[in-house]
Amino acid sequence: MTGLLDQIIQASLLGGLYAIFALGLAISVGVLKFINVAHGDLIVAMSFLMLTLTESLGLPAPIAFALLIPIGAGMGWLLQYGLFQRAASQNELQIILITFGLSVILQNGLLGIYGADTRKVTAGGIELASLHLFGNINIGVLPLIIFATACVLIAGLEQLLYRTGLGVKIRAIADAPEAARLVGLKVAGLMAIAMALVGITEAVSGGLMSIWTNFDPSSGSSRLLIAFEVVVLAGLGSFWGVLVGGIIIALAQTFGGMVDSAYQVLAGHIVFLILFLARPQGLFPKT
Amino acid sequence: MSALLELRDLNVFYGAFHSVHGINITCQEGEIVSLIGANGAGKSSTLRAIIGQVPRITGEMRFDGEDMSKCSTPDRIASGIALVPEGRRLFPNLTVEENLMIGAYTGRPGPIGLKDVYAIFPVLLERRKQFARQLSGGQQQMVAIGRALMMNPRLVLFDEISLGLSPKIIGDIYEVLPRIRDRGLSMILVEQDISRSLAMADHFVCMLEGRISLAGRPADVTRAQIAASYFGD
Repeated sequence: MTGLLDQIIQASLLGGLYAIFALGLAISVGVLKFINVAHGDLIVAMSFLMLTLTESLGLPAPIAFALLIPIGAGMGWLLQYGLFQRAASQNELQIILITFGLSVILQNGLLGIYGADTRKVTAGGIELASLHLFGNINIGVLPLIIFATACVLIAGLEQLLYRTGLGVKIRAIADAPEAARLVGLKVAGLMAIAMALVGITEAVSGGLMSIWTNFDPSSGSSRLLIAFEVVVLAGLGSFWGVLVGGIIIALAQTFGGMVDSAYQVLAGHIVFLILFLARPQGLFPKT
Repeated sequence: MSALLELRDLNVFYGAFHSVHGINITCQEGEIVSLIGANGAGKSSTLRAIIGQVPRITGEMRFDGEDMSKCSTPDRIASGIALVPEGRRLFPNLTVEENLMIGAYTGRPGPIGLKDVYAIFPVLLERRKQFARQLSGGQQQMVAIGRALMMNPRLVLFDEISLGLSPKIIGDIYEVLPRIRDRGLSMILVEQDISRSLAMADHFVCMLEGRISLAGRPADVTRAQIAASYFGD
């Protein structure tokens, strides 16, 4: 019984990481209404940047992580102004194709720069530190920090996008861009701010992933798949739903792995499919 | 006294298509101008040119004495022009209150706030937490008007506000317009319902194929003159 409880707790913490993977996609799909196929690769690119900052430049992991956040915001802002904005003025399909192309470029670029080896960022004692809860149950400090970060990010995004004027304006331009222009909203600038937010979530996601798990240049597609499943399970526009979705996928993977390690990933996909068929609008849709 | 809005020799182009041909329109402070004409006459293009939402114009647009011909839409709205667009153009997945607040975010500071809009349209207070897409057509039109009022404009452009609404709702909407004028706001009405529009207007401008075919005070012209300028007979 304690073993089962332990598995549930550990899986829930992993769900926090999955939720962070999905947050950027939840903004772009659920709020901005466009699909960013390069989302997983941008997360992996941030992981590699974290690797460069810590290993090549010798920065401590917390400082490298702190640097990653403004870099992520700048990257999102630049991608929107330099690339996506031009596509958005053409048609919606074009922007998907452009993000697909960006994904290919990022994967091959990372492969050329860093090689195909699996990598991981070393963050020192925090990786092994744990807290004793009760009985035989211990939880890792790093997974706990990641879960707490997911909660803080979600609360912040909920507050920003649903309780502030900036958030209302961002949702308005995504909801009806033509109407937004008619009422004087500065669509290009607001989209760039929104994509900067996406960039921040990708930086946080990539930075934390680089410490917790291994990654290589081709890891982006599996992260993207998890992120998609989590966002669809959550329902469009729901950030707390993203956390629930992440925990559900992580729990399914954990219990699938308990049956047979070969079923670990498959179990997540199967549970996603079952829930999707039962509730295609997601668990907590906001619109 | 200088006019609040002056269009001088205004031309509107959509690519190679010349939509509006050298029109001159003036709207004084507190005045209601009715812009009438058949479909395709250039009425909506004129309103879109005033708000800065057409690809290319030539000529001059002065607002409160200032040349705004080259200004962006946000600048025009911030200086006191608001549009109630044809088809309402609300944000369907934003609540009623969020739709109204968009007007406050893009407009200029002023006395009109949510309380005033809810006083004009009490039904919106009851439905303030509902998504705009869940409202009836008439209620959506109230939100569109309320959003424009939240911009604290000096001039409101109404584009086909009765389109697709029942006669009862149209009557309700038109009852509100005098209350808006009482606040000192100027209005330009583009409307299919000519008699209702002319009944409210201080001046009218009739357009035909992108040109002004007749203009003046409604009381000074006959129905036959209006019909002739409207249909081009």
